[in-house]
Amino acid sequence: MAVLATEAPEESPFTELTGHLTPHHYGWAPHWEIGGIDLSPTNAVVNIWLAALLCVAIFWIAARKRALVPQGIQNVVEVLVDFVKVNIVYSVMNTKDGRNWFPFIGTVFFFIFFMNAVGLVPYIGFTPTANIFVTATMALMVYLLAVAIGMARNGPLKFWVKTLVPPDVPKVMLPLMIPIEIISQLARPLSLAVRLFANMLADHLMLLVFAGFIFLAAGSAAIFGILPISVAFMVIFTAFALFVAFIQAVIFAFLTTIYINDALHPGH
Amino acid sequence: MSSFVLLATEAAEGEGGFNPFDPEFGLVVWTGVAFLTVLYLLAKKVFPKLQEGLADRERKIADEIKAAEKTRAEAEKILADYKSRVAAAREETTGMIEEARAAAEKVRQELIARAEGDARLIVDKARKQLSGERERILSELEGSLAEWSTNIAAQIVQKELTPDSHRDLVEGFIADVRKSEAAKS
Repeated sequence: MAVLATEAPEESPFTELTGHLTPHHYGWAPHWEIGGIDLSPTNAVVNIWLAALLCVAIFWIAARKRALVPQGIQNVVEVLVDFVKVNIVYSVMNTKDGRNWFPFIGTVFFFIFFMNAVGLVPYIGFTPTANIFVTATMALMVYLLAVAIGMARNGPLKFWVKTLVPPDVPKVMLPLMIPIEIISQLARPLSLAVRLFANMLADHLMLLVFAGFIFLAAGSAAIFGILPISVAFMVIFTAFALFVAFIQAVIFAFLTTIYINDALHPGH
Repeated sequence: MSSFVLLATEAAEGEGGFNPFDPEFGLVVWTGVAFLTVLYLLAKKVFPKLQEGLADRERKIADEIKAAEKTRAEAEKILADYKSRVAAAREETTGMIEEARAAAEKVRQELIARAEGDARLIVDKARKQLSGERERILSELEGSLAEWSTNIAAQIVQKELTPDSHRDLVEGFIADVRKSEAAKS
């Protein structure tokens, strides 16, 4: 292993493989740039839209089926919707808020889940959520929305006072508590973005590392030992990656629900 | 394992390959647009339909449960009615059987009584006939016996008895026999 490691920088297969985690342009795709921002349909962009398309298509098909006893895709979608409703939305919010906010939280959950999972599709797969800019966008949208509805519902001053000043804290503690609360508020979108990004990146890096072993051992006798082990681990980690994709979507949606609920009822 | 991950990352970075923090502002725009599109489609077009479908099913199931409960109540009512009818029929049948049994018993008793009466009449008649026959036989026997005994006695005593004294002796004997017969019956 040490020998393999020291030889790596020269012709490391990891360079090639980790390149799969970086968005890249297709040769056939047009190059779009607006206001200095590259909006070209890179593999990341294509996979974001693929996730969006899958998300909408699957739900569209499921929603059109009206079987009394659900089967197939209708059954899967209804189970997932029920899961999000019961275990995420209604476990945090009251019934009225839950009913109002389920469409938003459900969309967050399913969109992130599909962005997490689409990277597991062989050949075309790229995990958009393994990019910090994608997760940061989602996290900021969620957090800014929570702040916006909090201020709209309670008034900006009341909202921030209730949010930054914990109830029943002695006044003498406030100079300490308010900065802590400000840091806590700033940490919310940051942690939301980094958690999802880091988990999805690590997940795919693991898969690439096992794939890298095969390339490193290629041409040597070690390939006969490394190939089956690497393939076995890749299969196991692919299944694990699907589980992580689901869990991370649950965590993101759950925290979204908490942040929105906190914004609706600040200081509680 | 982690050293390999680091190695891979460092190697890639060293060659300008992989940097997860490379600015990709295009992705920010596309993520936002894609999310808002999905949100619009799901929230406006799909989730309401899905919810409506679920509510419809809930309503349908509730209706069917209600209908099933109604049917069950009706079935229970019919069953109770049927049971009460069966019980009434059974009671009626039992009554009829009892009545038939009583009537049969009555007829039997009547027949027995009639048969006993007839038997008694027959026996009485037979007894009377027997009694008459006996009387007749006895009177016949009386005459014959007197004669036979006279003859026997004449042979035994020869000349000691006259026919009249012999007759008296025989009649006395017969009277004794009658007395003893009467005492027996």
